[in-house]
Amino acid sequence: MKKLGFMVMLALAGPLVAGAADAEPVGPEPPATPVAYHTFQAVESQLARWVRKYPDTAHLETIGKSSGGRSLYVLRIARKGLTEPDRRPAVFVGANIAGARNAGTEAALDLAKRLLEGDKGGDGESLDLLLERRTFYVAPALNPDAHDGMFQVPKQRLSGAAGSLDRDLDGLVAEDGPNDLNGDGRITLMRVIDPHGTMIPDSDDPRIMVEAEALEGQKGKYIVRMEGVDDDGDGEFNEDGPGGVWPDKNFAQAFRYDDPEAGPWPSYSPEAKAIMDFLLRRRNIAVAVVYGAANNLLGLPEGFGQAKELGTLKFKIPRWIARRFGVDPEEEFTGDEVWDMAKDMPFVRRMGITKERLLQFVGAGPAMKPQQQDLKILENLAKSHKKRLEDAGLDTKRPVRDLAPGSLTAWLYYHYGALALELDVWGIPKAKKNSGKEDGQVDDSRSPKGETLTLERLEEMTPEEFVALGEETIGEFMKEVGAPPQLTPARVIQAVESGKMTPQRMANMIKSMGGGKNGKKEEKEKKLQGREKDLMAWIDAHAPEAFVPWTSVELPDGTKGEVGGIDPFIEVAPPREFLAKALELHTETILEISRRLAEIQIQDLSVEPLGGGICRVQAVVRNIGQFPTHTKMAQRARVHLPIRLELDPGKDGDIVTGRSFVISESLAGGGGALKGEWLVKLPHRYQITVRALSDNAGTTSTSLLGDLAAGKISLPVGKEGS
Amino acid sequence: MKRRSLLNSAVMLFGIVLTLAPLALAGPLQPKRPLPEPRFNRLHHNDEIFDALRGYAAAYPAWATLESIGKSSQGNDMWLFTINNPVTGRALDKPAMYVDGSTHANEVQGAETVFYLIDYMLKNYGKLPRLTTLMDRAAFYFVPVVSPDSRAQWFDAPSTRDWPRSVQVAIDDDRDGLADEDGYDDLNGDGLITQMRLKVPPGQGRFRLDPDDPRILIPADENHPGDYNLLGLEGIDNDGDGRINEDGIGYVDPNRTWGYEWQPRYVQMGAPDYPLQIPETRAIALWAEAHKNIAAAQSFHNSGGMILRGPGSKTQPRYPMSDLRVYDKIGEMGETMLPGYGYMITWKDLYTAYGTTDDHFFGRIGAFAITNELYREEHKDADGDGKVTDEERMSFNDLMTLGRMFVDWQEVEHPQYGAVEVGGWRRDTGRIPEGWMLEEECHRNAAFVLYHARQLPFLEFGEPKIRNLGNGIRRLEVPLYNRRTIASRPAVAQRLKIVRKDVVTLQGAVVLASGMVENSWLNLVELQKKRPERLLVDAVPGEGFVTLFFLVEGGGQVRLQYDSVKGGRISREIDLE
Ligand SMILES: [Zn+2]
Repeated sequence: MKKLGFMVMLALAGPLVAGAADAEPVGPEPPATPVAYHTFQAVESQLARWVRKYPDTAHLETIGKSSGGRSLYVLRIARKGLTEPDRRPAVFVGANIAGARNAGTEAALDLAKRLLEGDKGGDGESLDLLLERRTFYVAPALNPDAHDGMFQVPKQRLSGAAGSLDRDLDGLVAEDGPNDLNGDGRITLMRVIDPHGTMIPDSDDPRIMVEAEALEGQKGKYIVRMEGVDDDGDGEFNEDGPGGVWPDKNFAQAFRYDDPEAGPWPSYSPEAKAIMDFLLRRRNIAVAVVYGAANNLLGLPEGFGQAKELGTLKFKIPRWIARRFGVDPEEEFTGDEVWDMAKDMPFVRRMGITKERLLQFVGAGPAMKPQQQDLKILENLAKSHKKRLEDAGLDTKRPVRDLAPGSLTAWLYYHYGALALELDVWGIPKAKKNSGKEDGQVDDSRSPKGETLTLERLEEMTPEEFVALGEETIGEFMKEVGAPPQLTPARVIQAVESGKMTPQRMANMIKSMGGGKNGKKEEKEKKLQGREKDLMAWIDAHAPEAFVPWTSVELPDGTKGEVGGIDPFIEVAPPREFLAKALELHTETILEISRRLAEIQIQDLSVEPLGGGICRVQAVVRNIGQFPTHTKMAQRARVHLPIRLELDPGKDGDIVTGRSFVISESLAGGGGALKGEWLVKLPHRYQITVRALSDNAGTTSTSLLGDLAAGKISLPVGKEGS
Repeated sequence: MKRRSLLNSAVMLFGIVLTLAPLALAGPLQPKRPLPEPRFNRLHHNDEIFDALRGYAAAYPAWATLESIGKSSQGNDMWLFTINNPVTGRALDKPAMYVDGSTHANEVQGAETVFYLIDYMLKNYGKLPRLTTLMDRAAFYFVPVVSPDSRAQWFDAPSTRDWPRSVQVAIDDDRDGLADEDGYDDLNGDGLITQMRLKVPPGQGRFRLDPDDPRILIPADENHPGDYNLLGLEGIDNDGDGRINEDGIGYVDPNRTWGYEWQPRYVQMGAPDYPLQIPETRAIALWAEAHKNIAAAQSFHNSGGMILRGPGSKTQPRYPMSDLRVYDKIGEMGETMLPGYGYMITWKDLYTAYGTTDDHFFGRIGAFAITNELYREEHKDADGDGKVTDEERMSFNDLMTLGRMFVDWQEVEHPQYGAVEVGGWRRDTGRIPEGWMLEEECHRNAAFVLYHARQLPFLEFGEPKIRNLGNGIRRLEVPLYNRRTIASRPAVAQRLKIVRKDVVTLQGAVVLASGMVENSWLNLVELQKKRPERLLVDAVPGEGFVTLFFLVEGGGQVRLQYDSVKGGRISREIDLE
């Protein structure tokens, strides 16, 4: 028999190491320069300096190389503690895999700086303690090949790693990228008068180009495209620019198989593969935050596409099983019907097949929407995050992006099993209201109470919860799903109160009418486009140089055009000094998250002699953190080990019946418990050990030394173990 | 008429289609070294197969190459074997077929089929005209063993008919924090993993001994209380968790690792953490990405007698109609060449599987990919009732194999169950034919591969139509035929943007305009908007043609070149006068 044993850091194993003083700084500090964005090289030297200066706390790992041969770095920040850093509950923060989200890199560096340098005299003390119980993995620049687009001439947003693609399938690669025609060092826009043109300058602000509205009597005049020429003479402009696969499209959740930029398959890009390989070796990561293009706290993630969830799918049964069930293989069945047929079949019982596993087998497919329980955690985090934004005078109402298909964040949540969220760090605030009406139209669909009603939430609501939402929220929701106007919120509330209608039935009706699927997504997209006015207002007030006035240029073929428009980075990376407050509060949000992680602790260990050396041993492990030990998605995907509580009866001890361990698929936050009870034969003087194991909520163990003659011994186990 | 005959002679002089040229010269290949002479009435260890491949490559150095395209999980080479006629051009410039075997290591005869095919092709070139013309115009790539570590283990260590199916990557199947700690154990030390059965007090068993043949267990019933239970395959509870054999070596099923329409482990058993995570299939996928001239693919598995095509899952978009017609033609012919085999759709007729070889080669490479499940046990159905019973198997074992297939029960001591009996069917039964049946099945499937390969695109220029418009301007129309079923750019390749367009160039004259003739009689031409000297063509359809249009300035000899990723490169000289 092979020995059973987790590599466990025993609670007893070592004395508590209090925060050792940081080593003296090595090498000269760089001269104080005006705050600027970090080039990739600046990131590299910053990381190197930290590792030299804080050798006990900062550990730098090169997890791989980019397509262009640049290093992919992860800085591990943790102090010596009871558990080795790679087994502690941990937070991963990865930045700018998107390529042009350099503000994210700044935020990641801000976090690292705060953790390493602490707040002398402030909460520095508690940060040191935090770093003894938690580990932070900070990857500030996950797409180094694209990272320097904002520093290069011409300045342009890059997303692809080094390499080339044949997007237009003409057999030539990267032969037609943008060109800096006016020589201002930036790639902006170009407008050309063209009989097919559909765009005109906006009547309020002629600097902005808008679609002509035929019904308003307007007539299109210009074609607007990215600054550049038709390098390959195929009649298309800038259709096949430089750069290879986009790492942030190269992950498996909702991967786009028809998009050359996504790569031929998930994990093809060396960046994506290296990141996954690293993370899969670090199952102690409970929460993952990506600083990228989306913002999941200003707008909760909604999932991908129209893929249906388990409850609404219908299944055909493979011919050979249909024969065993005695049903028509052409007929379709609901999940419940399939399970009814299968659950009493001998092979199903013998093999312990669950309903979910069976449905997967007949083709239930993957999860495409976030699980409700997990959204609740994000919703809760959003509250404190928004408070911080408001306190700092930053906008919480600006429209934001949702997770992109194939993105790192989507993989982290759906496949890796972390509580994962993406934050865009900074965005152009909404312009101050000119006319209340117009603004009301683009306002997001939240009621004053901050509650949003979604189809998914509706399904899980009790009638009382639904009624409590109030007419306004319900009205907005009904508008969104396209309910007929005669169905007023008041009538719906009445129907629910009288029991004629339930939230679940309502959700089914909406679904069967095809409502609530895309409406919201489309609306979101609309809000993201046409933000030029917000942008111009902000530029005029803060960074006038970010607008390049339209100036005429002549293309090689003699065509006259004008080049101008908005700086490609202003929307995502403002002049560096505007970031300061945003960085600070994002670091605060990460620290808050890290303090709330699930953490297991053994409590209430007892040994009760029953006579003849037979004892009943009981132990309880609890989650003393605020988050659950497993997200609902991680439970569905079964990617984390269950919480395991196991008993070692010691030398000469023997478990009389059953297994030495109990497991639980998740312990709720705020005290969720797993109890173990064993009948054990113990010697007169015994030493038993109970271990609690998890992969991302810590591991801990407690030993109890006793004598049968002493009768029942109970140990309320303290915070640090006994 | 005069012009026409002139034109014909011009074609005869200059317009020889290159791919046909060597046909007249072809004779059998002359080996430079003694040839391997394998016999296909037995199974071969990987080492034997790879030795033979080295032998072929040494004997036909210009035609056959053996190269390693990567390493397996345990660091063994991933061998790729290529057959290409060097006289007719580089492999990459020709339509190609990819063939592999033993993706599932326990499905050992998959590799035998590939091995047979290689041997057969090389030894019959120049003797059989249908084979010779095919080998003149197409290239062939083979990965005989996709899962070399585990296939070696199947031969070298105790194994079963179903295991090892996965690659040698340790996975914590039972989620206890340890990987591969509770696999099978060869309790009686006979080098085989067979069954365990336990005698129990009457009434506690689900089975009893067959009164006619105590080697066989039959179900208990109300008149005959059971006194035997089957305990599964040989093994003990190695990790003390109250379960037996629940976390053996490996887990990842290579046929759930590929890069198209892949899904993770909770959606389907056997999946890795991300697609192409294991080095075996990743090596092949990376190599194939650079060999998109592959337009047909076939993988050999066992068992059941199936000709499977994708989609592996219902969630995939429906295949384009023109691609379905290709599949149906090949699959239906397969049913006639392989008696008892059925042409099936994986998700519909077998089970849902995401990230299979077929889906990858179709969805990522644009190749018509088929998986053959070799061997049907039906020949043991002595009474012809459509079912093979244990009695019939036992009778086949006793009469036809003189007892080779079954290992008699033997009592051994088991640490948890005490005295148990160990015995049962050997690993090379049930999914694998006996040696004297193996060769026929290898041959039939090899012949089917060659039929499949025959459908590779076969492009030929037709007679050019030239009209002098005066002022040195000529209008040129050239039909281009595809003589076979697979399009030069299959619809799936267009839909998913995985293969570039075909490119036509004309050298020796200035091209003023180019395009595709839609209707020559009505003078309807779809002109390409820009860059006429580089005419882009979506595809030449299977068993169809397109007509290329050019407006050129100049005269005399021009050279028309057609460059298709999957249709190969052809060219012809045209005299514009
Ligand atoms: Zn197989």
